[in-house]
Amino acid sequence: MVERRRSGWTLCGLGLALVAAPLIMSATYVTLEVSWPRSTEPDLTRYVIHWGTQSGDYSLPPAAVMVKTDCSPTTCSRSFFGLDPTQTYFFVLTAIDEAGNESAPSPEASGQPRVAECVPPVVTGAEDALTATPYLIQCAQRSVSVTGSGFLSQVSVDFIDSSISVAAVSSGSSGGATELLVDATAAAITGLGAKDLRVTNAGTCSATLSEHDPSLKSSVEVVKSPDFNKNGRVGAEDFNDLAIAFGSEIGGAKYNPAADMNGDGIINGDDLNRFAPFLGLLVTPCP
Amino acid sequence: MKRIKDWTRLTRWPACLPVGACALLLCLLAPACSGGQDDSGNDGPLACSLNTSFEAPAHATGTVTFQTYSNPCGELNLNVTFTGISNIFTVGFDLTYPSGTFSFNGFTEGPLLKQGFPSTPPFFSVTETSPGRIAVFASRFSPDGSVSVAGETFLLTLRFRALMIGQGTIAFDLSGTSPVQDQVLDQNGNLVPATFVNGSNVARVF
Repeated sequence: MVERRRSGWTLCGLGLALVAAPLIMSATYVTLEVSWPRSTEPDLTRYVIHWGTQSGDYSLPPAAVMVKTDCSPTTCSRSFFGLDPTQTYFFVLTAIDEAGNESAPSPEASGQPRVAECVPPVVTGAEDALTATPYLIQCAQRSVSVTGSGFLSQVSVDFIDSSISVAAVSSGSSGGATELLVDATAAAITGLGAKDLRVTNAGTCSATLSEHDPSLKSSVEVVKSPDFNKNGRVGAEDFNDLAIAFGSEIGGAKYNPAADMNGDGIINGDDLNRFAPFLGLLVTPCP
Repeated sequence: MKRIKDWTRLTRWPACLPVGACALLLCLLAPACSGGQDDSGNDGPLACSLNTSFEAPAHATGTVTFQTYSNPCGELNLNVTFTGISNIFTVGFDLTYPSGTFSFNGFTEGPLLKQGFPSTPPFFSVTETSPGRIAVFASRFSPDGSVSVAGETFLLTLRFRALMIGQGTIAFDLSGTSPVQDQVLDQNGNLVPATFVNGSNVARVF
């Protein structure tokens, strides 16, 4: 239990470290990260950061940091955004236990945010531009629409799986675009399944789709080529192959591995969902 | 550039779906699948000034042709009719229409592939791949077998809405440059003898 207004509390004794974060971005995205060692007291529930623009005057809205959710086993931190890069900010910490007791404030620390060299993009989605589906078929170069914000003119895109190559990136406008068109090709050897992609603005400011959507529900999914007979067209013959094999499982007489679009060993509606959007298209067949 | 409009069923297929659930789903989706009203829901100023003339060829045995169905105000509905063809399992073709005179307004599934109460509902993919071009694919699924037509039965009804006075040809694209090969296949992957036949096929709005 934290003694109310206890002086010289462990947290304060370790001091408060202010870090002008290396990821501080542009003048409009100025960020200051405050971090400190996490206390080992078991009943500690949260910290409160009191801050302001003058020493001893902490009139800006206090910020809470929950120990369980916002701290690592050894460190707690909080970032402040949209700050004035010409301004010095002053901080003190208090800690609050399960009973609501609040410690004495820590010694004051101060810091000035630093303007970084680039703006991090935000990636919110990606899909095949023509079919408006998340499926990236093996072997064929496809135009992938990447949506988000903060895409700058010197932006680049790559996939975490390096077997997916990116030939070109274009955007509708030179700065702050919300859509990028990416010519991407999944190789024949690219593994099936969800693939994360990364957008990088000039410098090292990058973001991945999974950062925005940890469930990867909006990610690109690599599937087999729908051109089963490898004639360069996705047509009735390919549809016929899937329909004949429909309902079969791996090892079964009618199982056709080419038609198992997601490679799960069963040819069913999941495969049809991945196949149908490409009907009628010309594609590069897999070798 | 995205496809103009994909009239394929508007929901994703579940991996497994009981027949009863499929039937219910189809009933619920019927308005979306069949096209119904256009996106605006308005009839437009030419709503009741439409007349059509359509010179479809005779429906000879072994052919796939267009046939006018019913043409209420402002609409042109065409059946794609199969005559005397056996062992139909999968169908694919594309067609062109005068996109300056008509807009494509969806489709309604016909009885051809639904014969014999298939355990898996046939799947229809109807996509306007570019202005004035529609790609159609449909298939039954194993273990349901092929179907045959002794007389005439239609695969689906294509629905068009008049845009302005004019005329043009609605026809299967039988050229070698078409991205879609006009084909009928059986349940063993064999091509079924079937001829896609165009007549004059002139559709008019006046």
